[in-house]
Amino acid sequence: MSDCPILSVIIPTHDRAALLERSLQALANQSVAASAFEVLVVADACQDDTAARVTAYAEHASFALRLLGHEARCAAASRNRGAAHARGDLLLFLDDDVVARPELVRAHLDGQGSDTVVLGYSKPVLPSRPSWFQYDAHRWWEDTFRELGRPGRRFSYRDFFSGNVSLSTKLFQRVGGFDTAFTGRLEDYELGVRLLGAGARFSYAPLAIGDHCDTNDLEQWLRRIRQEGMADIQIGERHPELRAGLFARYLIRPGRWRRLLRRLAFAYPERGQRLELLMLRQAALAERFRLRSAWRWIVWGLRDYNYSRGLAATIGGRRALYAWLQEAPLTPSVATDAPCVDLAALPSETNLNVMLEQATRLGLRLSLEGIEVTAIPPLPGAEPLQTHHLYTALRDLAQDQFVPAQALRLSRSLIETG
Amino acid sequence: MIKKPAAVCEVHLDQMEQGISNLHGYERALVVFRLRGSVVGREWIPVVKGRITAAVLREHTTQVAWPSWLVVNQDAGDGSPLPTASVVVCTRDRTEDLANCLPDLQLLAAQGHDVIVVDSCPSDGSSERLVASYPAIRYLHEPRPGLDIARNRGLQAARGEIVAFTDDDAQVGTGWLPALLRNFDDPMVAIVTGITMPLELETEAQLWFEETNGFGRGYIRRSFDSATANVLATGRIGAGVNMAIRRAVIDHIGLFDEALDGGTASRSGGDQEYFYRALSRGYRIVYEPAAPVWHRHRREWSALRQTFYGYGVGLFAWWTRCLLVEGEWSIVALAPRWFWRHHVRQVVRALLGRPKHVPLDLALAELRGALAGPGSYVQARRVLRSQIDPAAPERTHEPAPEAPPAREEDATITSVPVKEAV
Repeated sequence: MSDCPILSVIIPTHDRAALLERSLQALANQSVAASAFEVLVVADACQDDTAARVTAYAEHASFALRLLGHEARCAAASRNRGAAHARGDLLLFLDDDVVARPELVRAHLDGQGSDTVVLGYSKPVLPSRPSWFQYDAHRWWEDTFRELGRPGRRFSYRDFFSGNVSLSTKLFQRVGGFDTAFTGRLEDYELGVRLLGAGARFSYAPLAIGDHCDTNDLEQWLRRIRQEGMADIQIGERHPELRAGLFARYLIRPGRWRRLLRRLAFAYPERGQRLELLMLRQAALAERFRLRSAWRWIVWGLRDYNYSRGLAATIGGRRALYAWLQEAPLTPSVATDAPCVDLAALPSETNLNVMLEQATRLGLRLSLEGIEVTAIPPLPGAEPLQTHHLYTALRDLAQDQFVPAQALRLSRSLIETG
Repeated sequence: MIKKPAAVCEVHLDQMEQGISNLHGYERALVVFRLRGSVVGREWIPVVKGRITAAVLREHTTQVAWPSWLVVNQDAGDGSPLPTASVVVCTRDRTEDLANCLPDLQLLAAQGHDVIVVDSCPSDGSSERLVASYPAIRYLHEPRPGLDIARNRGLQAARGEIVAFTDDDAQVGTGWLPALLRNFDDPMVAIVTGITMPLELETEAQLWFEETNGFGRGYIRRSFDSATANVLATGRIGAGVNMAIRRAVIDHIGLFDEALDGGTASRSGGDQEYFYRALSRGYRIVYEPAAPVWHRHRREWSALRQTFYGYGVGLFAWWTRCLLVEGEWSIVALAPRWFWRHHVRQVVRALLGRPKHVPLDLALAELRGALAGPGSYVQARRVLRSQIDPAAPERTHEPAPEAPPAREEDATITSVPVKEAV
């Protein structure tokens, strides 16, 4: 049916008319028929000529294009508004700085199944004169997506990026859409938690490529890191079981320099801007003279400092943070009554499935002829444990420990039969 | 301190029952252990009555257990197609060596790979005649001397997505090229280097080279990037004798610096400097022990001394470039520190006769080279500038202009005689 598209592309935007126009043009070159999808641009508090340009473009666009406007100053609210007006059975969220390659929509359609969330590949594009930070960020994004594509990956809520992702409208409405309390960052992670909790399956589509023209530099990143500190607290409020995992790395005692910075962040949250500026100037100086280790030292300090400022702004003092963390369950570890799978004497398929279901909550021990090979702790906010995750776990373990080859071979057969 | 010739042999871990025979005349052998194509280790093993028995071989396999285990656990790969490749060999008046190198390359050419021999400023036509007997191999004549000039020529003429380089005095093993290519599935990988083993250890010079400098960089796959490695210490990543470059990155990191490496006053360092540039532009370099090349080290002592001198010059020459062109100020601290801790220390140890020291003349040659390095680079640049048309664009460090294929075709046709046999 040509009058009802299968898929609705939702693009939230704020004062980036030129970027947006490029993204729209890219959607005109999709390998699927233009009637298969519609595009909804949600302009949030735009002061520039976004509305005029979109309206002008809509007149001769090959696909159905609608413009929605509001004044929420919140990407989560924009996406929800787009979803509310969508006519397609499927929603595809794209960012305004993601330029779709011709196969993008088709790859999302091909990857869809019941209750499936298809994660696209937002391939980072380096700016023309990249800074050191941009080089690092570029590599980080490429590595992140490569990790998503590794066979046997156990997905978690932190794999849900709202810049290039599709899911069914029903599923989106069922879990309640994005939480608009997240005004700054990480509304996508939070939705990821609820999606996985509702039994959604994550799947990565490496061919759903959109070129991501991110021009953010160190300063913008640091602001985002601060917002991330705030958002992590919000996620921990909504989902207490994630608290331990969220802050596990932060709570590892850092060196003296970072301890001092954290102290300052919590003691004088309102004076942070000046110290940050000072350190940014040092970082720029280090980059100017190409002193890499000094630069890294400053930037990681800055990262920690800004994250701590974010935490301080939401929760107050350090004591309050620790008290808040202690309210929640501790770092998940394998429970004493966790099921144990012996690879030499595999249980029947039904039994195995029951065990894996328990293991998602309690953790799992893997043994070979009674000798424990490894233990997989429960991972809150991750996919339920499945047989192919066991093989991945053993293979990763074999990278730095000697795991009996038998264990690997048997677990490989486990995937093939499972 | 006379070193006696040693045999070099390779043995596959799953085919050791026969032991190794036909080693008459040798007292010891360098045995290279291989598993599934990968080099997993090597051991010096005494030769008894011209052979090494399987039992002795087995005793030494404990040393290779861990690399073997990692090879066994490697994922077979997802079966995705490998990128297309060109193989470039740069040669200069070493037709005899080239004759040993080409048969392996002919096999690659027969498999459909684009194989190119760049003849750098030849004094006669013997290399050209030799290549003519291999119709599947392309021959390019480069009139300007200089290894990096020849490399750039090869890079620009190459048709594959990946350009693999080896030397005319090296022989590539089977499986070399696919093992290099497999690593390019990571989009951040710009360069892959392989392991280089000695082809023969017949003379003292070859033995000393292998012991002191050698090209071996371990038996475990490693990856380097600017976050985890010092971008100015690229020596442990590999060398130009065995490397592959993703051609698309040339637009971003440029071509080889033609004021560096063989044929210029800088004598070496072109490959190391290129590795530095790749790392500093955010790319990743992978060292892959499954891609072996067998290199015939120089036989004569005088050549070895020259090599040591050349390494000293080359290192300080490319560091000079980093300071002058790239503004790497940490060189100011790094270079003197390295000079004291490595070059001076090496000479002092040789003078004191400390165990495992390098022969004094080699240590001195390298030290003299280091001192000459910075001046040599400046001189090499001056020579280069006088050679090329002053109006020509700087080709060394700025990104190459868009759409190089069209340009290089023109250059190929107009400026130099090219024989292209297909």
